[in-house]
Amino acid sequence: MALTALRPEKVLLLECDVLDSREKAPGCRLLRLDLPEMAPRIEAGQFLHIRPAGVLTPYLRRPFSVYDVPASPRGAVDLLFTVIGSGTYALGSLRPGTRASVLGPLGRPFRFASDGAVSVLVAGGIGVAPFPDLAKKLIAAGSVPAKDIRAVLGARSRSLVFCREDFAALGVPCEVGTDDGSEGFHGNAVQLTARVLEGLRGQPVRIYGCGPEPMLRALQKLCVERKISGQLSIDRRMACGLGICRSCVVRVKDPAGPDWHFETVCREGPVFDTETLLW
Amino acid sequence: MAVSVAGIALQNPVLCASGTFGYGVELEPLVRLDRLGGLVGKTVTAEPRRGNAPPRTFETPAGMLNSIGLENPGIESYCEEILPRLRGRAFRVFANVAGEDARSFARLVSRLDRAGGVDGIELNLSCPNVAGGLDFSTDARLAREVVAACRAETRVPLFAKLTPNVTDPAPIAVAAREGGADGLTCVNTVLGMAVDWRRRASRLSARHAGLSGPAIRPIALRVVDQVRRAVGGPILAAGGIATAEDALEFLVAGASAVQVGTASFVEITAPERVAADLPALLASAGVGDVNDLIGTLPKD
Ligand SMILES: Cc1cc2nc3c(=O)[nH]c(=O)nc-3n(C[C@H](O)[C@H](O)[C@H](O)COP(=O)(O)OP(=O)(O)OC[C@H]3O[C@@H](n4cnc5c(N)ncnc54)[C@H](O)[C@@H]3O)c2cc1C
Ligand SMILES: Cc1cc2nc3c(=O)[nH]c(=O)nc-3n(C[C@H](O)[C@H](O)[C@H](O)COP(=O)(O)O)c2cc1C
Ligand code: FES
Repeated sequence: MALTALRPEKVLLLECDVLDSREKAPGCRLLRLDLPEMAPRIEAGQFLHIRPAGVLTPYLRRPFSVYDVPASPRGAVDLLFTVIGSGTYALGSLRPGTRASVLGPLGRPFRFASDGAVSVLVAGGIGVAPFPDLAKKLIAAGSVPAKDIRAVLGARSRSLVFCREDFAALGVPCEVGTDDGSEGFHGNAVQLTARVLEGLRGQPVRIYGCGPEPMLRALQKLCVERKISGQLSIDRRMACGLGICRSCVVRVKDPAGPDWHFETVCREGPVFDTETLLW
Repeated sequence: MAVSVAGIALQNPVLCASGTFGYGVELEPLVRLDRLGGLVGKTVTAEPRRGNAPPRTFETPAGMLNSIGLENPGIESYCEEILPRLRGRAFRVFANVAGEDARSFARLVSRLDRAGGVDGIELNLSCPNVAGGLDFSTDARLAREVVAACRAETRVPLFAKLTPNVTDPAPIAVAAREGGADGLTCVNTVLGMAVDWRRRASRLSARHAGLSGPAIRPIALRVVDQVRRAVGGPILAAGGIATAEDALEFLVAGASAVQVGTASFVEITAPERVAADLPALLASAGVGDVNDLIGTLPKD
């Protein structure tokens, strides 16, 4: 365990106002927080660790990717999440006028380069949350034009496909697949990705993935088999979010040799390279 | 706010608890370590340890379960890389070690003694997350033997960290003091469990795990009371302490200083906040010196 590169000087712990909370799609909530100091520090793929202010239950924070840092209102930060348990229920119940406690921005962001590669953003269900912001920042940084980005959205069913409209607004081509065939390609996100790659034959590609672990494992396999460089944003139960409690570890290949070590998803992740991640 | 614990002068009676604050330095400047009375490092062992497989933690009502399994970089790395970064600061440095038997405990203590720069050593006799870890503080004879072996290696104040997972902590506390402990830390985590009934599996990779947080505060307070009545002080108290109010409950009950643990995961600045809130809270009760409050709960 090395005392590695968290940059605590960039992390803030503060209480903020809830600006908005609404149902973006059935079961999917958008929470808008007033974070003028934090917003400009956020890089694509980083997360915020949040809890309702001033309550004992839920006790620990919950991690959420930054979904959007909108141009207006200035200083707003949007999170997007599905309600699956007590923490997300409590956060989904926050309303304007209430407050949240926020620690962030945390974690290592997605890395990108302007080398002409096509960026394929592969999402499973709510795993799409970090990708509209990533697409926006890829385009804004002048790294990757919208036409060189593909959003691949997989979900169990049509009602669980989120954020199509965000990619449309950015001019990013979007492919949808559902397990039950209720929309688009009939199959999972990784099968759909394989199809998208066929369409891109010959072009260099970089893959970004976020979603349930089985999907990410399959995507990793695809990347390794085809020698495509990939970055996966992964999910682990967290407590501190700062690398100190050692809750959120994942196995990573040692730089030299066949052995492995644990890294924390909160501090060394949540984004990991497909070549080194052993789960 | 200054207090003295086993001869160690603390600028205030608030420490962070082992395993809940890393080694401190990796959190600056997000936290202001110089506002703490002391810093207890995460348990170190003779060799680096990877710890248990995930999932390692799970939230429970007003607390959490953990089965980290003493992941740590090992004593050499601690002495060479971490201790030098803690020297010459306003807070006091407490190391925390765990061995497999009395001899390995003693070797760890001897290494720390040689390294220097350690104001106090906590002997983790009570980690529930490694095989054999609890034995040292559920068996009075073993506790005495481990502490005595460590005592022979150093004059640095030793604190035996006790488990609440016994019928009566008093005999263990007595044995640790007989072995030569200068003080006692009460308490480590309470053994617990969580089950995912749908998967018919434990929520954690380890079947049983340690419960911490506000949920265990009454248990910790009870143990402090029992230990204080059995052997007196000094006692470092841990267990669900998250506010200055909580801290004062423990000081009145006989603790000389408190450790903030799980609360730091919720709010990483919790220890410094507790320290900062103490003076005004004491003043509101007309208490000028915190030492006038310590142990003022009648013993019967
Ligand atoms: C870096 C990071 C970024 C994240 N970003 C987002 C995001 O943008 N949007 C979002 O909706 N979620 C996101 N998550 C996941 C989110 O943190 C969890 O959904 C949340 O912590 C669950 O809390 P809870 O108390 O509601 O559920 P819990 O009570 O903890 O869990 C409820 C039930 O769901 C199960 N469960 C827990 N997590 C998951 C999961 N991820 N998938 C399926 N089942 C699960 C549990 O085992 C339990 O049975 C992210 C996680 C990480 C680590
Ligand atoms: C995640 C976690 C890791 C811990 N690691 C250690 C450890 O390495 N050594 C130790 O002596 N105690 C360890 N503890 C126990 C705490 O130091 C403390 O005794 C206990 O959690 C009770 O205090 P709290 O309720 O304030 O957390 C750990 C606790 C937690 C929650
Ligand atoms: S959540 Fe504490 S180390 Fe990652």
